[in-house]
Amino acid sequence: MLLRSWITFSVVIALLQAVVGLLSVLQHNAVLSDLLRQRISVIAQTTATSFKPIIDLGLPISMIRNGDAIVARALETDDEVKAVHALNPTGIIVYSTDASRPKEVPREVLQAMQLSKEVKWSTETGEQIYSGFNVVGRDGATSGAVLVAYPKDRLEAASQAIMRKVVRNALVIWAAFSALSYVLLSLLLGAPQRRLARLEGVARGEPDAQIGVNGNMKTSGSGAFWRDLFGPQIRQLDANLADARRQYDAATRELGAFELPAAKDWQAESDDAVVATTPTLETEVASNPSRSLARQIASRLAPLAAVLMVSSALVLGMITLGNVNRSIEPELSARTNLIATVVGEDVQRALATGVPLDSLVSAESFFADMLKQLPEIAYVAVATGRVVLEVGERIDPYLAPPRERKGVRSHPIMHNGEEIAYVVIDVDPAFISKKFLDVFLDMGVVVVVAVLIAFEIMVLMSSRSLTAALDRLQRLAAMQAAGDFSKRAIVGARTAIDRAAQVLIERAEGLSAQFAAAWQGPGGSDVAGGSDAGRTRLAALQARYCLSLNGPATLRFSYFTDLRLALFLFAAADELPLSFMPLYTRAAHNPFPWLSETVLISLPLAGYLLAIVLVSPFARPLARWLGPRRLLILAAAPTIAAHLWLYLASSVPEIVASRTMLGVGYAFVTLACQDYVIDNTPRDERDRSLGMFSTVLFGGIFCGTALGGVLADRLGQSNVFLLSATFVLISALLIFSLVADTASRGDGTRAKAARPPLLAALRNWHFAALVFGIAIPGNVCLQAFISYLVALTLDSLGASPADIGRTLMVYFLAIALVGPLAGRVAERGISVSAVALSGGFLCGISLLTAAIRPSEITIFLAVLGSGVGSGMVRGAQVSLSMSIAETELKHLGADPVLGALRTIERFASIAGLLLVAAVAGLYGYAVAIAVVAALALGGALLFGLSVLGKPAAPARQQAP
Amino acid sequence: MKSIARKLLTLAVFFVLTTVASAADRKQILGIFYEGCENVCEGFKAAIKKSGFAADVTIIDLAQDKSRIPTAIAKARAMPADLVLTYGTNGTLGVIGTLDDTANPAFITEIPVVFVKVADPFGTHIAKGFEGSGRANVTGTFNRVPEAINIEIVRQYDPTFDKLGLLYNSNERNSAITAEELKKIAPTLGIELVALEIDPGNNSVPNIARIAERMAELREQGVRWLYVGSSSFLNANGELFTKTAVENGIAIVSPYEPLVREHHAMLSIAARLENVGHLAAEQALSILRDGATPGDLPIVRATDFAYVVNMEVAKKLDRYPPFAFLQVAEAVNN
Repeated sequence: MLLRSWITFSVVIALLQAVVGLLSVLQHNAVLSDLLRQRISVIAQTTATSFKPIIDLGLPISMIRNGDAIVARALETDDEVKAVHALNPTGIIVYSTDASRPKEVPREVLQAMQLSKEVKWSTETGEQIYSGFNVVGRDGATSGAVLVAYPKDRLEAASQAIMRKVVRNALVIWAAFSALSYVLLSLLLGAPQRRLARLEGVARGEPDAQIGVNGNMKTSGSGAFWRDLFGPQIRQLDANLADARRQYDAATRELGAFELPAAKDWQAESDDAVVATTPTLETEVASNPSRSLARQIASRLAPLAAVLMVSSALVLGMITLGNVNRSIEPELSARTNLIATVVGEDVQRALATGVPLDSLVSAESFFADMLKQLPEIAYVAVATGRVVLEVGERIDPYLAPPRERKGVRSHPIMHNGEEIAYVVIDVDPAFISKKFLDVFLDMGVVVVVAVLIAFEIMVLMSSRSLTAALDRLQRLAAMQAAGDFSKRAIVGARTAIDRAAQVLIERAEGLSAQFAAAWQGPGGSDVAGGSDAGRTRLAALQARYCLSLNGPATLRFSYFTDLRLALFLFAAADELPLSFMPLYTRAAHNPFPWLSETVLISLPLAGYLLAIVLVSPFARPLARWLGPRRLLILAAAPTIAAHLWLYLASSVPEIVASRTMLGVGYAFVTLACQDYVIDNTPRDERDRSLGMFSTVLFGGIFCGTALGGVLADRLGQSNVFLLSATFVLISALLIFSLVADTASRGDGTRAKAARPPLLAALRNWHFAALVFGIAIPGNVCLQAFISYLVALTLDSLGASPADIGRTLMVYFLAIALVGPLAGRVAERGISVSAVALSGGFLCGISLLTAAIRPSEITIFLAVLGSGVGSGMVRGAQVSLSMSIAETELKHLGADPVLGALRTIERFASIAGLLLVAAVAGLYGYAVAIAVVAALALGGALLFGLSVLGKPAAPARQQAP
Repeated sequence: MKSIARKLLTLAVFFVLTTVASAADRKQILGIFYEGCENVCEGFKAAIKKSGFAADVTIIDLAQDKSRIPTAIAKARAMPADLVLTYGTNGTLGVIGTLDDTANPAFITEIPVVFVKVADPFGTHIAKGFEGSGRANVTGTFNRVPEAINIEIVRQYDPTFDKLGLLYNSNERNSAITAEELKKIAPTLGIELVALEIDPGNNSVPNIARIAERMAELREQGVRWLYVGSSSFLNANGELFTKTAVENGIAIVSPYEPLVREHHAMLSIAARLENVGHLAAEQALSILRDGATPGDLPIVRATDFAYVVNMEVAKKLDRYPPFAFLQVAEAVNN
């Protein structure tokens, strides 16, 4: 047990280190690439600015005589620049520094230019980084762009350097934590291990020395705490094993009275025992009682695992954070240097035309325009000892970070071979701090995601390698102790626990064989003993020891933990593209030019939701007909196909169709999992298991959302779909190999989906108020705001996919954290209606703030607010609807009422999404957010009115 | 001896015949220029030569005298020319007339014609539009920016600019048309136009002494910026005209780059004239070498426009260009 646990811990910590390391490197590359692009964009920007006076006149960029000379200047500012091109609005290169005179830019570069809502844009191909800056005329139309191509060598070198450091650190940390886990596990499991090792002997009937014949054990003296850590449970198991032995001995004795020569040699413990009967298969609901030894050990191991995983991830995260910061710091100062160089060169160019330094006209407004795109520069000045021109506000020298003040005078302005002035540049320390804070937050996300993934793997591994075996033994021992020898199980023989279980199984098989032989009698025609009395006695023995002529039935244990990782991976795969899906759709070919772009990009989501609505009623009947396992595996196939189709998709209809397929898969998988949990959990533990189901589902969603952004940034958006397909495939394989094949419960006829009583339910005013006031706004908030508007608004504000992913995941994190808290608040007697109402208002108010003043921070707060609000609403909504269903709508039944609520809210969320998309197209994202906010606030008001004067709904146990 | 003489005669006849045949293979281009063979003319000849196409370019200089046009037309027909190149609005109108003159034998209707440096070929009804001239034997080039852009340049340069001076010569059709157009667009751009005729009442070439008088008048009316518009007369008297302007504190904006590069105009945005000649040569080669019908060819636009600023003049007038201009402008110091 100790060795297995230690191997499990070591493997999981290794996996965790690998995930943290890999994600850290990806994150580092994303940050560095972004900084590189920003630096190169300075070159693109200054070159584009040179074209502007002519573009402002209304002339096309291609009509400028010295265009080639203008783009060539950019090469002087940075000798690593590979090429600079000036493009017309259709992407045709009109001027270039490239001697081969390429005619067009690569397709992905053109796409980045066309899709960008900002003047500044960038992209990355296999070999180069591209930064573009649009030349916008006075009329606001884009007349062309300047594109700077930069080799990826610097990025790749930095990436490799950080990779080497991460691998080295991860190995050291892994070795240290592996050793630490051995020490801690020895303390925790050493004594139980020694005692469990003797279980085999106990199972065979040998007395346990430590327990003694009277069942008492020494529980005092030094190390007693550790020694007796699982004492009561082990003693219980020992007692059961001893009782099982006694029961077996009694049964053998009694069956021995019918003994025939053929059965004489039957020894339960003999290794060559052959069961002559065909065992029947039966899958049993595994109760896994909370006081069982397996659960006790798991509940002790889980916190230890969590502490070891979090701390090892944090150690690697913190060390890597330092490395990442050191890696990006030179890039930040390189950009500042470049800006200073560019300012100096612009001034030199002006002086070279013959204008005296003191007579520069409108230089301040020129540089002020430039600084609008360079947020980190607070102040630029040209000085000769006195300041000749200045823009922005000076940073107090004591506030500015020392590294930014280095080389203040390192950018001289030369004229006729003499230094006549120099550039002063002040970097805004707040901007730099924000950059480092961003990196810190990114690393935090990496650690959280890695720990969640590792935790799921740990739960699965410890269940498979440790607790499941103990649980099997406990169940068999308990049954046999009670005289029930009707069951066997499939176990290995590697551990003492399994060997002990094997002893019990062999006894059950032996007794069955003995019983069968006795029943058939000599010649196989009569009962041994040859009388009715003998038959009656045998029948009594059969009933007492639950024996069967066919031998013991095989138990197959099924646990929710078998499904956890699969569900987690599936949910993550589904949400990986969340942060870039609208952008991916926008980039695809649109065969419906008459359709507004905002509506168009909402269609994949609408198709996905529609599929969920239409398919959900069939999920439960299908799961009953096929069994959840088969349904899960069957649903994985179209999901994988849909992800692959998305990878290949180039047009909007393809994306809509494949997302619709995904909706079908998602509905079947999540509902089949839910059914599996319900079917395989004892009734009294169902709520807890469903809560765990929700946690795993949202954990997966959270990780998918958080990871999708950074993966899209580094691997490319379409490749993320391949990863999603892989996740689903692994998920399907896990289900195939781990999940028990519970028999279908179909009664031979195909199950039909019941139609929920929509109108009948809505006639109830309280139910209608709940649906329209709470459920629909909540769903519209999720589908229209979280899944649609956030990505688009943040993108239009210049956020990267990684930023978008990080913001979005806050929603799911808030739901995961607040959901259980809200349930607890309700359990303390606070009205559920009040919780739902507060959630609705919170959602509305936070969205309104973002609508009034859209910025990265207000959107973040709106996402957080709506996450907290939705967390409050989510449980309360089910609880309230169940209350109504059990009282005012009792005649309709609880399930149909809940079905009606789900159907209406899903349909409404599709309608809401399309409406919000249309509003976004007509009036902009801010108005669209305001519409969602108004819906949430109006709904909360409506619901508030409906609960006025109504007695507070009793708090119910929360359901997912 | 006789046999030698006969052989020599045979050789001579062969030589003459070969030469005549060779001359017959070479295309004949007649360039009818208004102010001598200037930059456009040089650019055209250079491009034809560079192409390696067998063609001879013969130049006729009208010396700003429209009365010489009929002689030029007669020469074109006598040669006979395979293609005629016409320069400027006056010269082109004289050689091919307007769209209404396509059946008028006084104009060339049978020989392919390429026009260059016509300020407004559409306003003057020389051609129908950029897609094609609307005449089977005519095509051409276009090398000016719209007049509104010329006003916009000044506004960019000097945000306080609100009054534009213009000298025009009503004897030149293009000059009169430009003046009319500016009178129409100036109010829409919020600019007051002070347009003065150089030598009113004089139906022939204006008296150059009037230039200084008009310039002083403009100064008195508060004009600080003067637009050249389109006038061969002012172009031909560039040195005097631009120098007088500077003396009166007036900065000249010119659609003719040489007025900035070689004289004292302060600012221009124009295509390089040599490049206009190259474009005309491309048109000519499409017709003569590739067999294109002139009427099927579009009127090609010049593409290499540049800001040119005369920094010496800017210094004298103490009106340095804005910083952004200096990043793109070609500065001239003379």
